[in-house]
Amino acid sequence: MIEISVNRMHRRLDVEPDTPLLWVLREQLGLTGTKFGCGIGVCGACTVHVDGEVVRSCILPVEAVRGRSIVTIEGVGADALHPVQVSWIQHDAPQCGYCQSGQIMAAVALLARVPHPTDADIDQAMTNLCRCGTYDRIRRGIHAAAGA
Amino acid sequence: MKSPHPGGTNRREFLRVSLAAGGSLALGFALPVGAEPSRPAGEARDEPAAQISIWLKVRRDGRITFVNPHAEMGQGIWSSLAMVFVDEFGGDWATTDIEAGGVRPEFRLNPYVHEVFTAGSSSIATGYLPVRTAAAAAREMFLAAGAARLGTNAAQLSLAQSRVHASDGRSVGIGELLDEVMRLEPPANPTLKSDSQLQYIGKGIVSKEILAKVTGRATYGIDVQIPGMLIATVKASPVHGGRVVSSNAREVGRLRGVRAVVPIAGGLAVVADTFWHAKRAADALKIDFDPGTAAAVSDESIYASHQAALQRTDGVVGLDEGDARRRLAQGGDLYEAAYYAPRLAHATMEPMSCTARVTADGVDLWLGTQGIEYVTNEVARLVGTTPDRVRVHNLMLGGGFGRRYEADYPSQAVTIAQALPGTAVKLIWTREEDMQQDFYRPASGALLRATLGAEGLPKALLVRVSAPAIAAHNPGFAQFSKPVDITAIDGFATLHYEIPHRRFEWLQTESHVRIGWWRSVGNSQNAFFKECFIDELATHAGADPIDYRLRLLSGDRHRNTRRLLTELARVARWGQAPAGRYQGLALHETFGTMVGQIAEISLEGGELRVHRITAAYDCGSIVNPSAVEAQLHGGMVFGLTATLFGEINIERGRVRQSNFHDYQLVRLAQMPDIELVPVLRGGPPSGVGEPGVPPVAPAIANALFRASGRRVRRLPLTREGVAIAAARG
Repeated sequence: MIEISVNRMHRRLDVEPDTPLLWVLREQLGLTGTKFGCGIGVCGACTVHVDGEVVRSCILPVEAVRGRSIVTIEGVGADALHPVQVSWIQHDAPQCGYCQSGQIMAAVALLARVPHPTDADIDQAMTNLCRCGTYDRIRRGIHAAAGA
Repeated sequence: MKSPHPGGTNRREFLRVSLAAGGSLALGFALPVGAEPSRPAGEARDEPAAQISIWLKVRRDGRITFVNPHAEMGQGIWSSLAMVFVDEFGGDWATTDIEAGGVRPEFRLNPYVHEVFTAGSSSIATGYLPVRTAAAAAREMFLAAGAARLGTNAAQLSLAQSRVHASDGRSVGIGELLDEVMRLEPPANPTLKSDSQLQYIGKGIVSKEILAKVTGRATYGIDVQIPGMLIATVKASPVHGGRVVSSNAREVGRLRGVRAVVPIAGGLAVVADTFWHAKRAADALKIDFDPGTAAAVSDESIYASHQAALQRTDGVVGLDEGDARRRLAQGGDLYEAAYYAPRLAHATMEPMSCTARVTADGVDLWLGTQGIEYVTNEVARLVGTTPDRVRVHNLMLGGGFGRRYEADYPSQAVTIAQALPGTAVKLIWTREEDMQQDFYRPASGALLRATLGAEGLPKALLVRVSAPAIAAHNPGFAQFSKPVDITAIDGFATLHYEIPHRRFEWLQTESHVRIGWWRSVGNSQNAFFKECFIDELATHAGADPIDYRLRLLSGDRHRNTRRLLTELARVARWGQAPAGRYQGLALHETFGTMVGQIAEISLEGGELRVHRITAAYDCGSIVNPSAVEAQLHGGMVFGLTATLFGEINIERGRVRQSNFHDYQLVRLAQMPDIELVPVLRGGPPSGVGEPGVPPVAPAIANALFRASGRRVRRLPLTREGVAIAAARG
């Protein structure tokens, strides 16, 4: 049994310890907002927060987050939309939307760390891939959310 | 089971979002936040809805459902087409739902390809007028019913916010008029609203699906959950066309969680209780493949075959205007150049995925597909049933770009599900499988030759293209492969330059790797060939590339294009780049939409930086401004990735690339500033999903020439030894 906290809910999981957190979230917990993109930690579609830090859950064995607090896209806007989500809507940022859970998780973590990021901060933090090419609206969305 | 698309709203919950804060939707809308993406379509309300037309269902409470035949893959058609309908009809957007249309003959909207599909930047181009007409017909029916109810003349009534309003202030909801409306015949020639009566068209609206997309609740193919379902992943022959000789399937079948190892065409599938078990077992598979004859194929052998093809004079003639051949044979001031474009992968962010269940009742499929009718037919053929017994539940697509038109991954899922009758099996490809089992944009080559007359302008032009027959590989499009494959001649058949004598020859090449529709298809490389060549001719003539093109665009029929080029030059400050920056120009029409682009680059420290791309476009008219800008912008990023890095290599018949570490995409830090300039001809809209892609490569290559004096005639730039800056600088 592995115990973790996901979106402030305590979970006891009967999974093999080497199972990547991504698949525990998606298949054991039904939290499909976190996406599978590459499986090697490059694309960022699987981005979640572990104790507030951005991690790529597709290469993180669930045993590595024993007892730690995980927040997924479903947890970010659970009570009310996060300013980043509101800003994403205002800027009509998503296209296909598949990478956007990860993009939003990365942006939320950036703003928690740097409330008013510069373009250079955004360049450095937002390494998630988007095949639709929504980067410009993501950048503007982050600036607007920072100003909100 | 989850719904095909997030739709529906909960009217009790509204969030006020001021859209004037940023973004291009400078409108204030009440945004419904209670979207319930998990609600199955058709069960949105207890009461059944009256089907007014193939496009429209109305419930007694006045709630309407727009039936959308198109797949949503990021292009925004899901809401854009619904918005067109609601605006023309006079509906209430907040109480509008959208439902997937499925396969119906009436939804074969494309006049040339007689199937239901979503591709070719054609959804708005082919759907805009039919949808408006259907909406106007429905409006006139409700107005007629309202006139009878209110005892007045229909001409005195209006339909707004899903209510029929009389001039004296009385009104009746459309849901209260269903009995009367159902008895009416639709009008044959309904009158469309005038532009001034339109509320959303040309302005935009908050899309129905955006809330689900920013909260992780949107359901993509990979997300569907069916009770009791199993998970599969596959390993197919790394050499396309290979077959399994032997394997350790029996051993792998005993691994933890594994339920079955199932043979599929050219490979094996592992079915397990979870993806991780399936993936681990697939990694443990040792398969001895017979690669077939293609095992010797390499990039070098493919390149050599294109070079040989371009020397041949017996190509299929696709265009022969004037007396090109004789004039070119006469010599004189001849200019010639050859180009080559590589194989490219789609690399959608969502790897291919499809859930299938085969029962005595037929087949159920849950996936995101651009080719709903093609997939339906292929699956019916595969299981030996009729198409009406194949039910395709179309979900959100995590990117399409042409890849999700194909029927390979649904066919695999069905083959696997056939081995486990009654059980739903979700097939999820690994990224490695996705990268290596694509239907690639094929490599192609071109030889362009011109004889030059006064002012160095071409009098005669020969375009010889070596490329495989993409259109031939799908039954719905095979008609466009003869005599010349339409994708080989993309952008040359409708060449916008006035060159009196011109000839197009196609040398068909073969590709052992599967080939398919890659965003903008043949235009993606033909624009590179054509616009680099024109730029070379301008340089040869000592002319400015804009002036040179304007001279090739004389005459009345090019008035709009001249205006577009002139406006582009003005906004991009052509010829006035800051010190150390260099500009390049390209102009190309894709699927009826003309796009001109000026790229501005620098080569500081030997590293290429794309600082800025200005794009002027003419898509006739704009239906949904935010979606139009997003599509053009996104197309340019797609083109930028291809220009800088994009290349799929073949070694010993296998695709070398396997994931995003060796098939790079442009990242946010590398993004140039992109400015979009509409220069519209007016009239009906043409598509925007693909036309942003083609001009990027030639615009950057032409800028690179200005910066370095070097002509790059082969893509991508990294392959030609050009270092790309990691950040914008």
